[in-house]
Amino acid sequence: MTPTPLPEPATDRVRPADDHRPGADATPSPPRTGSNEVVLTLTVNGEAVRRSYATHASLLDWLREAAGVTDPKLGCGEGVCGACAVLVDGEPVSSCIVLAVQVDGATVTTASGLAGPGGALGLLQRHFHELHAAQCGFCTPGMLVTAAALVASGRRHSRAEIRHALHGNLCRCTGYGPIVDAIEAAEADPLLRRVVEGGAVEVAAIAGEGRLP
Amino acid sequence: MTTTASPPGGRALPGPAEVAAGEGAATSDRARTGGGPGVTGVRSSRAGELRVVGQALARLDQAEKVAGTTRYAGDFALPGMAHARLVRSPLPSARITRRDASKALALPGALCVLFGEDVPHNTVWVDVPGQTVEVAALKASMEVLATSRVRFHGEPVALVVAESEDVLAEACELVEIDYEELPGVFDPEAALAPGAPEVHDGGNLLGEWRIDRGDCDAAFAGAAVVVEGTYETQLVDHAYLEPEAGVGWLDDHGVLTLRVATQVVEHYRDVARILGLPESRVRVLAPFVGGGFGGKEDMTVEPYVALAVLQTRRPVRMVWSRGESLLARPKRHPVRLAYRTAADREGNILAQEIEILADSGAYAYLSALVLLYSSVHACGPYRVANVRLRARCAYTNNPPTSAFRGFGGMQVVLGYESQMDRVADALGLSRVALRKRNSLSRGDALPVGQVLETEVALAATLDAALAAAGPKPAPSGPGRAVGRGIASNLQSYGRLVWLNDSAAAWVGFQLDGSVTLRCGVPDIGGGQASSLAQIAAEVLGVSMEHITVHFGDSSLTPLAGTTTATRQLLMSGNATYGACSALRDLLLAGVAAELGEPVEGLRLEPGAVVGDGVRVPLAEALVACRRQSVPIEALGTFYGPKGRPVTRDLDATRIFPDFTFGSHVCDLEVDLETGQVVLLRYVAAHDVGRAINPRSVEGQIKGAVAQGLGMALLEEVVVEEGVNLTGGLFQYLVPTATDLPEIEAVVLESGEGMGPFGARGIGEPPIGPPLAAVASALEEATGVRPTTLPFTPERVLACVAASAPARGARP
Repeated sequence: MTPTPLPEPATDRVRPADDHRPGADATPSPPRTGSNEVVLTLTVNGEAVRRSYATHASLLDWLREAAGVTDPKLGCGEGVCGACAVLVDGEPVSSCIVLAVQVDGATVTTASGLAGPGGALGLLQRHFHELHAAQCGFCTPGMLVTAAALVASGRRHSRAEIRHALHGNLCRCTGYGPIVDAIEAAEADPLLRRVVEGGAVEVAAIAGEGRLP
Repeated sequence: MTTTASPPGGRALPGPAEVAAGEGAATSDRARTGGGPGVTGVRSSRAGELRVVGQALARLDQAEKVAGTTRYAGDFALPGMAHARLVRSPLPSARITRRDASKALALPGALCVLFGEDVPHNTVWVDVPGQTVEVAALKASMEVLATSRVRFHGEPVALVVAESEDVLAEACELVEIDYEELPGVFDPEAALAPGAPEVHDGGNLLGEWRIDRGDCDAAFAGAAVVVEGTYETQLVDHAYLEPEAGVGWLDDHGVLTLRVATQVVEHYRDVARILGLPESRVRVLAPFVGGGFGGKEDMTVEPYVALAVLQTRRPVRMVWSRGESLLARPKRHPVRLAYRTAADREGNILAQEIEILADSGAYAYLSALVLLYSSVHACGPYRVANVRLRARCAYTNNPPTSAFRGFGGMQVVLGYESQMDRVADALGLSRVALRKRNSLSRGDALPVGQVLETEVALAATLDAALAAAGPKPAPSGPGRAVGRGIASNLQSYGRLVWLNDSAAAWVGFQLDGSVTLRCGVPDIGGGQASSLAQIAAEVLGVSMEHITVHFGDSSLTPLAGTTTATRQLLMSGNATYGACSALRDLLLAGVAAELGEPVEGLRLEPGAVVGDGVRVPLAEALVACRRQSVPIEALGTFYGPKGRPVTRDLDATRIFPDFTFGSHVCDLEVDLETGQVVLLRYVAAHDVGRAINPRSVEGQIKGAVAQGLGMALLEEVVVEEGVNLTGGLFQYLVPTATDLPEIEAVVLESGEGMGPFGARGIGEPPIGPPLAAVASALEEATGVRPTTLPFTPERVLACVAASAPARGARP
């Protein structure tokens, strides 16, 4: 049986190209070179990552395309929706409107960096999980890092305060209630209370029991 | 802590004779025929007898989503992957006079530029159902890439593929396209006026539906009260957080594979048609989708990724920017509603006269069907014997409109519920009592003729919502007024009955006792796949963790149809139920043969087949099946209820499988100086039949309410003379955590739905009432009812100003 032939590229507006079918040719694209690239080193989720990438790249593009960390999402590209939120030296920022070159040498924590040891769910992730704080899940990585910064302050917050802290993170699925529930529950978690007794803690400390002192 | 008022499993409603789990279970045969007219498809069971269904379990997809490891369509990459983008029309109505790709192609790294002539089958035909020859456009068409004429701002004209996103951006700038501007039409009423510029040849009337039931003239003549109202809804966007995205590649055997954010893997057929390929050579994979709401029901990136892959023979990724998504993807129909309602002195609604005019934008998409939904739902959950309805939708040079959660059943809630308030006020009756008095009951017919076959718990939802809301709060200070609004609705679940809907699911035991479930359902965030696992866990006596669901693959999972129309629990839920029931029966048969005992004495319990003095652990039962040549896998196919297609003059015994009913209460405060509205509290009560997972049900209700409240108060895609001015989320105001109140979901369970375990669909229904509930609350707070959406502070202030002379007299 002969399979139906694929339509030929039917235009003169196509450059000839080799077959890049996966498996047929697994050679990656040639490394980028040239003056429009810059070498940056960031500590991403506890690991030093050194990459040469486009000088004009946003932190979000650098994380996703250069470092392969895809949990921060591109939702709007204009710093409004919060899906790209990451922690830079503990502070939440919209990584789509920060240039990677601005934060060379910084410590970046994304949602996946809030996991506990061995990839188990971290404390905050666990409460999001139990209380159905994610539906489609696309806003969740940004929600988690914003929540992490709030929880790391060590203070317990009212629901109104939690809502205010989340106002830069859009969610289209949940109506926010379950997310507020999860953050409230995380802040009340006895495990966390023990750690934050003395006040604010490093964000890494809220990740999971394994990292708690 | 959580904001739910209901215990797990929800509140039981008194229902008809209920059937124990298992006894009412469908065999695969019954699943094939179930759900026909009558309630043969209803499988009811007491919540207390269920082990897994009804539990607020963590969804299967939750752990990866909160870990940040879920790979959405745009997160995927392949070696050698190129990037694609569309060049779109900057004008709403123009002739294309010149296209030149030479400068773009000269750019190093640019791979190809495609125009419409390069698309094997560039014209896509759309059926416009139910229309008579009086409506010119029986078939509507659109081009994948416009060749000579553009009809809306943002219409795709060229497809550019390049080595990198950077080169791509530059190459798109270098594609030269010249236009000659043509007159356009930007308002549906103007579009239907004689001499209006034609968007398509043959006139601008795209679709029309009518209902003529009873004797309206006599009813109006004999009415104690007649109230009139006109209402206007705006253009709104789905604004899911995940913009349209996909990656395509040529797999082995030349199978064109697309991994895209979609609600419909069955678009592989459309892609095949456009490319001139056999359907068997195109495969669509739907990974977890970052929100759909109807916006990923029509094709988005699919044909373009496919073309780019075929032209370059390389993997290609296309991700739309937020601006593109807001600019060019079809949105919700702006609708003008004119209602005239007649009632007698006791408050019985005697007649409704309704005119609906919807803006379809530049292309047909699903407009005629959306308008059909508006027509069928236009009288709400009420008995109305005399109805005259005329609904039309018109082409304009505005952005196209198509599916959006509620699908035409949503906008009309603002009309019929505002009218119910007005009738109650005119007669001096309670708004709640008026609704209860007119509520549909089982056995009543909708104005189109469909008789309701299942419980209508409208009154119970009203009582439950009001009880949960408690007393109305007092204003927080001087210059502020608090209003409470109520609104009820009905919304169909399941597709139109003449679409011959079906869904299939395959389930098999592995030898270690774990379960593999395959179902083509796309999971767009509502827990679609997880709900199927919960159903399977219930029937097969295994725990959720032992079930793996493979979903959303048009080649390797049995097709389950679209995740739209609130149909997946009904359709793939029943298919899964049927497959699992059949598998359970096979397991029992295998053990019976092994033991030489009658199968009737055996039942499946968690982890074992059990009979009188017999207990065979699952692992041994599976081995027994192998020895007895009994399969340990089963396919279940569920066919939805069927019926005949409608014609323009609607009169049908059945249009939808069934309906979901609900009632909402909204408390809000208005600053009478500024018009600022603060939502204080919101309660939404729905009869969901049976909550398979109460948390998922509450999630659907709360999320739909949030989306409805956004439309009520904040959201609008602003279009001026066809030019879309809304370019980003800084302009398109999706509600934030501080804009929304605590939303409480009250889950009622009549056990009367047509889904598995008596479940009804709940994805769309709760988005209906918020528009009307907010309007009603604003009327109470300001003294004047707002009728044009969105209810911005300016419009609320206009209500305050209009009622100023009377306000002193209000209690």
